[in-house]
Amino acid sequence: MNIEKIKRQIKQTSVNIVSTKIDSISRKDISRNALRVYSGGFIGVAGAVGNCDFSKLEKNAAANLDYKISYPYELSSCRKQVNLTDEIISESDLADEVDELLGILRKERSDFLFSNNVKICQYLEEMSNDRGLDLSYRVRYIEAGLIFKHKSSVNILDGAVGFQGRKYNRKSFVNFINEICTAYNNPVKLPDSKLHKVAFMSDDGQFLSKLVNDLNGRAYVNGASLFSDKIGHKLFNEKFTFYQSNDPYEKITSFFDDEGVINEDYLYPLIKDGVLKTPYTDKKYSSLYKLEHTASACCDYDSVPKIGFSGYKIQESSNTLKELLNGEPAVLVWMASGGDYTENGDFAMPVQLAFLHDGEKFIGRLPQIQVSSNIFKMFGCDYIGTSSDNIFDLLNDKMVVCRMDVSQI
Amino acid sequence: MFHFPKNLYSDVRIETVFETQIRYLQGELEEIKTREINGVMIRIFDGKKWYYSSITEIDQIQAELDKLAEFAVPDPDINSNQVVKKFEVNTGEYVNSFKNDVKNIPVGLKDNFLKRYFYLFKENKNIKLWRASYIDKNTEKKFFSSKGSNLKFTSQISGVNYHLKMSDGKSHFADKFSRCYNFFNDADLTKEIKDFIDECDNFLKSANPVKPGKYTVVLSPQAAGIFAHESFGHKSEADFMLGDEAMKNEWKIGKKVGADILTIVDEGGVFGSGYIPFDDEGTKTGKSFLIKNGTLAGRLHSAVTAAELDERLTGNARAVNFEFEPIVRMTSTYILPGNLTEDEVFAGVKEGVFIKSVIHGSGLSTFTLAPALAYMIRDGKISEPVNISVATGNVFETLGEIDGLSDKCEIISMSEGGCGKGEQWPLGVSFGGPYVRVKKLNIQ
Repeated sequence: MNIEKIKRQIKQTSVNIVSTKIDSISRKDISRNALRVYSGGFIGVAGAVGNCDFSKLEKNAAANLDYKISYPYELSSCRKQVNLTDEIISESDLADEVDELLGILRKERSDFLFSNNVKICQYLEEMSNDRGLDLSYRVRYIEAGLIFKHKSSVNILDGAVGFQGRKYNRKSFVNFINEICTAYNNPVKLPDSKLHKVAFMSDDGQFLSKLVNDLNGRAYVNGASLFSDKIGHKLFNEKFTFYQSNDPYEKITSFFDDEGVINEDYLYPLIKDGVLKTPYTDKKYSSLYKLEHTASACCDYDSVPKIGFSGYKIQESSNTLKELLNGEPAVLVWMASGGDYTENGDFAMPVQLAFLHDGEKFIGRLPQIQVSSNIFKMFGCDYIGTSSDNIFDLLNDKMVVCRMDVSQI
Repeated sequence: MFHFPKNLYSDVRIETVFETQIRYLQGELEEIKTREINGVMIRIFDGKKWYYSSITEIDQIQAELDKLAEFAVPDPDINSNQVVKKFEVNTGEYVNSFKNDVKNIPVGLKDNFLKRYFYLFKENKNIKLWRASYIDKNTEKKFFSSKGSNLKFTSQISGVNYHLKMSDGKSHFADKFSRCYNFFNDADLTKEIKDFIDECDNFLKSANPVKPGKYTVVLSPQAAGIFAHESFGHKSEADFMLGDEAMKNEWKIGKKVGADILTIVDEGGVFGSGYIPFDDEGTKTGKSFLIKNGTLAGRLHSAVTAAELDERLTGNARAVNFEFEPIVRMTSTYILPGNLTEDEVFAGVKEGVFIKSVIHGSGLSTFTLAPALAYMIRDGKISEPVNISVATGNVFETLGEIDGLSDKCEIISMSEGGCGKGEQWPLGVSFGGPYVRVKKLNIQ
């Protein structure tokens, strides 16, 4: 019998904001532990929240072997630590910092109300086993999400500004908020054209949801994916390269998957130069269907690992956003919810807040629009590229640009 | 009992959650687990700010209360604070003796119930991928406050979900079959599941892309419930009005917001996945009319929002679990039925769209519904199946466009997923309504 230990711990201080004032301060310190036991090709798991008795967990996990959940795969045995816990702002200083930030916003953006929260988080994820696996990821990060609403507006909210990362600079954040709010206050018309250059932030998962769902190895091997049986086929634009990414230096993400596997440079290409290279897989799908193993196991702390997708990266071009736009303004999707693909890949998404952007600055706020296309067009003939630059220095996002139908709602 | 810090308002919510999760993929067992999670949310209010802490060690509650109190500024007059005055003081045990308490049902019985219908999925060659899950959850909450509340109450859900993805080599289709109750219910679902699979199979083979445009649309009770929840329910959550004079002026009770036949209600006492006897501030839940005969009739409150707007408590302060503070949330939100038969709702439509099942919805000033099963309506009859990405509309225009309601209301519960607001997801809610006819919706 082999034993594997999992630990996940989040410590968080959150300063919560209502109407541009601090409303509350909350603290959280939650740890979750689990043991996986492996025996005879089966797995048993047991977990607990808070302090736990590991001998009891082991007994429960061993008892769960009786359910005969198959797991005949080699256990991981690598060792690596990533520690990204440099101080950003201390927990005790966070409320004062947010208070000062809100003081500036009350003065400089008195036409808006801001709400939601700013958090300092410390996250720990560990995985070890008696085969030598010893992985540890520690990160300290700031998460700022401010919902804004113009004081004269009768909407619940008009937009949001925020970022997640390991650096903070008040001046940059204020500049960021000011630029968005100023653009919001400048309504502009949708330029006359049916097909527009539309720019998405690369972390906006909605417009990539079909790609992520249908690149799942489980859907692929069962014929339920649009891409089934198409490994080696050129499906998309040759400029389009799509990776699974668990790069802890680029994003707040653990660098190993839930089977303890690490990819080289934390990346695995799924679509390379428009050609489908492989669907993403965990040990099971890689082994059963002879597919490349992409380290794509995801699960709750006390669950059996299963195939899943934790993060992605679209290969950046060598061009800036301005160069990609080449003089034509972009419809930049800032806030959108409710969009979806049909099973056949047609995509439509209402955009609640979009800006016109010239590649260097925000021009103004567009009326509510709907963007639509098809997955094979968006990332195929209509794909223009992904920018090499960020639109704000606190944001990690690059801009993904493609031509789409845009209509006013 | 706790020693609540002096001159501050405090409350303690202790949660014990029992859960079962059984998951199969293509008939192969992937997961089977039961777990019990204990956690505590502690809140302190000094009249100006709130201080929250979530912990997992029950024996540390007093120490954490004392620690939080150090951040607060005591106010000898705290009991005169309008928010503190609003809090109800309720005591007693409200432990529902749910039939078939899920804690007492052997896992094997739950597993066998889920597996009973697997053969139906294996029989259909176009089902390329299917997943099945059984999920139950029994939640016991104890609530204590410095005003004297001392409550114990429970809620429970139990349900099955079958997700399928179909392909015939040319077309693809995905949907799910779900049932959820407040007790372990192993009633025979064979016919319902078989009919569902047959309908999906027919849809796969026959559906064509819809011609985009504006159509008269009939919403099924599920679609109508999601519409009610997304389009108007979220706008009834009064926390968005805090400190916002424009909103207070705009959202005055009595304002005309929809068609005369439209009435929307939120009710925590309705059994289903939105059922709660008390909210997470210890307020007894009730029935709130959000829209009555097309007129804004009420909104949903926590103590903070009720105090600011000087309105009555509604029992809608809810947290997704002990890790979070309660915020204003819905419970069971539904459209009241009208006076047409189901056939009469369709009969008035020359060319339109019937949205039968919905994958998800969203709602700000524009709402969206992403349908799975949808059909054209021709000359009052449900006709050929159509693929639709999203149905969208402006919320207020659409509420005014409702011109037909059938005479029976159906409440939909779910054991998977739930409502999301900010970082608090998934919260158990239910929703529903009758068949609802909307004169004009944008179909893409």
